[in-house]
Parts: sequence; structure tokens; C-alpha cells
Amino acid sequence: MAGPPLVYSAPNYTTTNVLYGVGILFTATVGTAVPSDQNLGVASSWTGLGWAYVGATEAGVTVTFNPTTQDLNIEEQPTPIATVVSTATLQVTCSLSEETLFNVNLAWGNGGSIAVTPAGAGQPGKSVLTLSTNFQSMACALVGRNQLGYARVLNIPSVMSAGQVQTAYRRAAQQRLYPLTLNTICAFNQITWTDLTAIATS
Amino acid sequence: MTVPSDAVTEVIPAVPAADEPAPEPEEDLSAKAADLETQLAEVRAAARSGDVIRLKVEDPHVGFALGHINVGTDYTEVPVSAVAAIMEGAANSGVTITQEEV
Repeated sequence: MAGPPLVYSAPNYTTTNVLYGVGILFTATVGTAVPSDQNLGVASSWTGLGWAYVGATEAGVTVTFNPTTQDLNIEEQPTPIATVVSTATLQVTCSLSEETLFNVNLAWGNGGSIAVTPAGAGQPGKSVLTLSTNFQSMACALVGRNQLGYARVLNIPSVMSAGQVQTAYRRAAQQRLYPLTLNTICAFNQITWTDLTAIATS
Repeated sequence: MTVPSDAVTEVIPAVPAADEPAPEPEEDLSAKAADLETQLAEVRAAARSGDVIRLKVEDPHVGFALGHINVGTDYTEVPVSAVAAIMEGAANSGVTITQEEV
């Protein structure tokens, strides 16, 4: 006598959880407050608190988390008994398309300073970026849209810009780009994702 | 031994008497946790920001920026922790920075 029928039943998936769209990258001095929850998705709330928007990018912003793990083994078992994290890096990268002195400095370590001289008699107005290898740490936040259409914010309290920067001056092939690499230097438990999920009740 | 069907049973009132205190509403733990997280974030931000001092740029310059910190011709508050870097950067750029006397 045959037993009960064998059923194959796959779980449902949620297509609305599949997200896409650009992220808005802000940087600021370490310790700069983030906007209130209500205003996490409002660009002017960020800039009003001292956050700087990096502007247009060549191919959006990429977040890369790369843990290096170490297997712990025993002779009696061929598979590891545990896998522990030995090192971990979190990088935020993009290629800045807007060539401003601020962005040049940002990509080149954020250690330089910009002096502004106004136009005067016999003196053209000018801004001079003086570079430095004394790289400065900063905060960064990446604001995207979640499946509800609200803001989802990755907040990293301390990063340093320390990537290789190569800029090509081409006649027409492409715009001048400044690759930006922000390496996280704070403890991992200081990094937060904030996801707005509902409108305030009053 | 079985209990007779007509045994006396305790009757529990469905509604508390008017003179009894109303039961405490259950605490919303998730809301409390959110409040505490907000307070912790504020304390951490305050701890990071620390003290500030006021600097300004002298002629012939009208502005000086180090990273995300801008100093103008009016006194501008900057974190104490950034002053050394600002002064070094200003010296390298030939910019004169004045600190407000207190």
C-alpha cells in the first residue's frame, strides 16, 4: 500500500524586496550629528547639519564588506569546529565625476586645505588646494530608498580616504574621474543601518 | 476520591472592584529600547564632538577649509581636536588664522 503523496512546495518570494537605485553619499567631520529620524531622507537636512554631498558619480556607490576568516580545526574531525573572523574591512567606493577642489581633496586623502582669496585690484579671485599626507578621518553616510519608499541609511562614524586615485585627462572619451575609497576605521558595532518603516503616528 | 458536583467553588469576579487600583499597562519594551538607543546616540555624538573654539581667517584670504571644516572671516566654531591640523594646514597655505580671545 502506497504512503502519502510526496509534495514539493517552494516558499514564496517577495519581488518588492528586490531593490535598486542610486545611493546618496554624504561625508562630514567625525562626530557630526545625523538628521532626526523624520528627516533622514531629506537632503537639505543633511547638508544643513554640515554633511557634504559628493555629487555625481560615474557608476554609483559600492559598499564592500570583506571579512577574513580563520578555521579552527581538530584532528578528530575533517571539517572545522568553528570559523572566526580574524580581520574585516568595510569600504565605500565610487568614482567622483564632479571635479571640485573639495572632491579632489576628498579622494586624495582628505588631508589638504583650501585657501580662498577674493578678487581684488590686480588679484584674481582664487582657491588654492594645498595637499598633505596627513590624512584626516571623517564620517560617512549612504542614503538609499527602501522597499517602502523611505530612507535607509548606512552610517559609518569614522572612515579614511586612502585609495589609489588615477585621473585620465581625455579629449572626449570620458569625463575626468576621481576614484574615492573610504576605509572604515571605527569599531564594527558603531556602524548602523537605519530603516524607516512607518510614518509617525502624530 | 471525586469531588461532588455540588461542591462549593470560588467565584472570581470578572471586573475588579472600583476601589482596587487599575493594573499597570504593559510596558512597551520596543519603544523603550528605541528611546534608549536615541539617547545613547546623542551621548556618543556629544562625547565625540567635545569642546569647540572660535577661529577666523585674516586678510587677504576670505576662507579656509580643512576637510569638512570651513573657517570664514567671521569667527567660526571648530572642534578643539581639529585645531592643530587647521593651524598646520593654514601655515602650509600661507593663511593667517586668529583664535578668539576669551
